[in-house]
Amino acid sequence: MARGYMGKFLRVNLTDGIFNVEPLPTSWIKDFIGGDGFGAKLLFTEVPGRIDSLSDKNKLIIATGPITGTMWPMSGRTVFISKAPLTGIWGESHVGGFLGAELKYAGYDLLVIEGKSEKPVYIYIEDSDLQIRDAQQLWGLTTDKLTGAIKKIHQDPDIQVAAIGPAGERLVRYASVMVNHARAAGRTGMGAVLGSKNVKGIAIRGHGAVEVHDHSTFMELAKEAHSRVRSNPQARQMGKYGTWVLTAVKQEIGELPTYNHQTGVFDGWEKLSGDYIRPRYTVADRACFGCSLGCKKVNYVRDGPFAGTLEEGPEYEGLMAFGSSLGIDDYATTLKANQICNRYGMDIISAGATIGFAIEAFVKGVITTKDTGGLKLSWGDREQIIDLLQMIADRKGFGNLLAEGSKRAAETLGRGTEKFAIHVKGMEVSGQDGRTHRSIALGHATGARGADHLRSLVVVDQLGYEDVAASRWGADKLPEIIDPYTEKYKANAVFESENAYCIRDTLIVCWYSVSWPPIFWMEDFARMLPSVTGESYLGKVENLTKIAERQVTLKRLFNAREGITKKDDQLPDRFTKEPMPEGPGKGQTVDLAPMLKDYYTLRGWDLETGLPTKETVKRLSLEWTKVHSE
Amino acid sequence: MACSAHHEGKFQPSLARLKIVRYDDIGLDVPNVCGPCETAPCVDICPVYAMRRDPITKMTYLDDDKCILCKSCVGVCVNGVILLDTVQMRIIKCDHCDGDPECAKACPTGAITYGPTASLASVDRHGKIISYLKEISRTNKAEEVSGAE
Repeated sequence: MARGYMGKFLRVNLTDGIFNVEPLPTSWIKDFIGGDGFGAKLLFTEVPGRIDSLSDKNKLIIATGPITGTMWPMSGRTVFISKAPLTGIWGESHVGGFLGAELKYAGYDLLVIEGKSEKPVYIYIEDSDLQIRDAQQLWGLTTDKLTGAIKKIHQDPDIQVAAIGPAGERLVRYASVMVNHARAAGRTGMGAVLGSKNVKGIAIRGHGAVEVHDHSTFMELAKEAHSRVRSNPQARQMGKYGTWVLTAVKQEIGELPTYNHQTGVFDGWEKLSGDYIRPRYTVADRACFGCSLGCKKVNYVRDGPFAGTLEEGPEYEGLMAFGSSLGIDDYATTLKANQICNRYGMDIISAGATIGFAIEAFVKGVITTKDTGGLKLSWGDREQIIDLLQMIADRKGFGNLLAEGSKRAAETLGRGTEKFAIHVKGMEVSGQDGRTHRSIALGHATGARGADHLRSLVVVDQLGYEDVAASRWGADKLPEIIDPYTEKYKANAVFESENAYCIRDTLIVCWYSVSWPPIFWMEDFARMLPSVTGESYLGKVENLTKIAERQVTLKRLFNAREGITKKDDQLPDRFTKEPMPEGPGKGQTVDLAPMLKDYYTLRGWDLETGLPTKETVKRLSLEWTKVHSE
Repeated sequence: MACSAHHEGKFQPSLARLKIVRYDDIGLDVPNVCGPCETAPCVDICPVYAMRRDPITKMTYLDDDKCILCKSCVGVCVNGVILLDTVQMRIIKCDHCDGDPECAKACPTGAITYGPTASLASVDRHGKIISYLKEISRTNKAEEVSGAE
């Protein structure tokens, strides 16, 4: 077994109440590296097509990579993989914190949860001590209380807990899994998968060691990498303000989603920017496992209706989802919303976007107080929005409908409300706007889990890093490739970024070390990987590219099995037909077709159906998928 | 982690010679390292005089040859940074890396420092934590009065 791995994966069958420790197949390492890749392979083989995401046939995989638990900067990430309750297709959600490293110290690379428990339980893993423990007393607790309770039961403050809140228990379609109190595996509804299996939490404690192939070389590379993180000017900004820096940048290029993505500029943006927030609210900086950057901020509200709120976050996406997107120019409200989302376990992006959908439909007179159960919705009504969020968590009244996500809610309401549901493949669009940032339009349309800003978001054009673009993609593609308002070369940028991010997701390292700020890229990983694993095959960029392509195509095949084709790679009409009404990108719309064509060509997918061609499947040695594809 | 990487050649926080206590609920992390100790219980309790304290730096050092693995120091250490490794049967204790500790080098924020001013840094830290806790209890009281959640 190559080093860096623990060489084992742990399987929990809840139906029978048994654990199984299985060896990690060595052949997986060259083909998939780890993390996301292992998860994709396992989920594709073991979960049959077209099952209900919330049935006992679905499985939840928690995966780590070869560098998880080592000194490599920002390697404290973990991924939750399952068939997504929100979209019914490929679902994954990455989370920071300390959980993944602890799982490896306990001796396992992956944890697979299958079946369904009859009564509420939590899973307890301490090295080789494996237990499925009763959680009837813990059912209904918020995630912070649950984490505290489990630590108390086992008398160990160092236990790492992945918890679901009441929203996950009630199967809110975008329920999250919470780690370390405020780190959320938010998107696609992984919390609902655990909820459907009656699993309240996963507690992990490990005392073992992670060993790498060549310790001294790896330590040298890791130390150099740490100093690169610390000396990078954008990273230092990020350490100070977190992702709040983005608010100002997005306002400048007209990409700050406002009033449910109707426009890209927001009058009250200054109150949602880092310069404004940090001196007024921030009380502490925090970091995930092994991070030199430390983008997490603990904030405290001193006055106003939400005085006394003490909570970590929200990041830019939270500011957008409960700030500009709902017409609120008040940080305290977004912090309160973030607190509810953390405690009850919900994805803040989807929650905000679903509320935005409801408000727009109400304000435009399509739905009335009859639909909302008497609520008069309006933009910027802070208290009411917080109340509505609580109703979603409790699945009460109108909140019960919104807990299904904007796509399902629009289908139920009908009357043309579909056009206010800003989603791709069922997942709500994150805090970007394709009209004024063309590469993300393609990213949203083609993302394996729906409208996704984490699988292929190109920030080089968005933030105008000319030198980075030149070194990554060649100076001949300038200036078009960094012009956020043109379609040209955007498929190239998305293709290559998506490949690099795939490697990032297999290792697993944090988003913020790869794309924004742009510190590491493929060649850095290729240099580091042989010293960890001892596999020289992983030391070449072209091999890593092939692994990444394999993974993207494998996820595509997974989605194809669920019925996804080219017709689903579309954007909401808002981005393609309604021109940007104001701001620097005034009049812009997305022309998706040429970008899609370029992208399919680069991926080796059929231009008519959008599905991987036979040659591509063969080239990436994915023929085995056929057996599982009926 | 830097600590176990340096001393053990692998990544194993459970064998680290320091302990980071994390309070996720109030957003506070307290790094507990060995020394400097004004009074050193581990030195006082050791039955075989294996532990000694440098009178100037106030740092303590363990002489492994003298140690009889009685675990007294493990129990008595106020910072909880002395451990018994039950696999290799030895006491795990910070040796201060000959005055150039890996943990201080690895720390990105300067929360762990080493040098004559170390006690000053810890005083600052304590001051910050105390004022922070006061603020929390103040608002908790305010909540009780108003009945707000």
